[in-house]
Amino acid sequence: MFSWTFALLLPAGVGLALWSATGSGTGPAKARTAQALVMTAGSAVADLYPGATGDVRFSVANSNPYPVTVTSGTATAITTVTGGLGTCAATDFTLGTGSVASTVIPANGSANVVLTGALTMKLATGDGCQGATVNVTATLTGTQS
Amino acid sequence: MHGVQGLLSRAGPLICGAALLLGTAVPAAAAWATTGTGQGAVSARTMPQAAGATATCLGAGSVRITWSASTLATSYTVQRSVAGSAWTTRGTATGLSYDDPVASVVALSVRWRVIATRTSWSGPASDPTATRTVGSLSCA
Repeated sequence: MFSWTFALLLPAGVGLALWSATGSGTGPAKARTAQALVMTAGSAVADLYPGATGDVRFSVANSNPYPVTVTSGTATAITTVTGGLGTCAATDFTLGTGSVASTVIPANGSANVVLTGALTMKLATGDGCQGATVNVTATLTGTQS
Repeated sequence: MHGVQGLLSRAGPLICGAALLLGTAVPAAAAWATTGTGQGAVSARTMPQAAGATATCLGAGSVRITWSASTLATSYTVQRSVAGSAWTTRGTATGLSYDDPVASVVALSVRWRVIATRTSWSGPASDPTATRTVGSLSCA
């Protein structure tokens, strides 16, 4: 009985090679632009009564891929007054500048932000403003964190 | 000498590294700013109803009305109804009681109620007190 054994013999120094490739050139790389925070009215808390100052609450969405820390805010206008017992108008309130405690909005997330002391109800405000909800326009400013 | 040279040759790279660290300006991490403009909300309270109004005879000719403290109230208005007539204001109090003279009311059914107030705000009237039959000579 005979059996044959085949072997592949390679010269010394010759190995199996994997292909590789390199190249150089130019291509576009475009930087992102910071996306604006999107603000909607948060759950209002009944802070106001004649002579009292209230906090304006926002829900703030951050569509950037990085967290944003809100560091300042300014109330700019009284937009609507609704839901009081009777007649109640923007003139029954005084707009303040307010202040914001540093608040982190997660990347692609949202958080509640409070603009403290942004609105005062005038002392002579009548019963019509009992239970009213006041919507306030404001601008918040933050930085990447 | 060889020992000193060897020490210097070993320390050289370290000194060079320190110099690089000290001499190279580290770029500041630039944080992007972003803003947003939108709506927020705040709401107003409502003046609560005064509660627990009670009328107690002090003797002939006077009735003491008492009630519970009401949130937000800085004063209370006391009203009276005689024999089912319209409610009329008798006076105001900053505390939690009011003495109402009834000597001029002769043996008629009388009830009282209380309204919590704050500046220009007023709450709903309390439930009326139990009826008292009062006069210059009696109170029951």
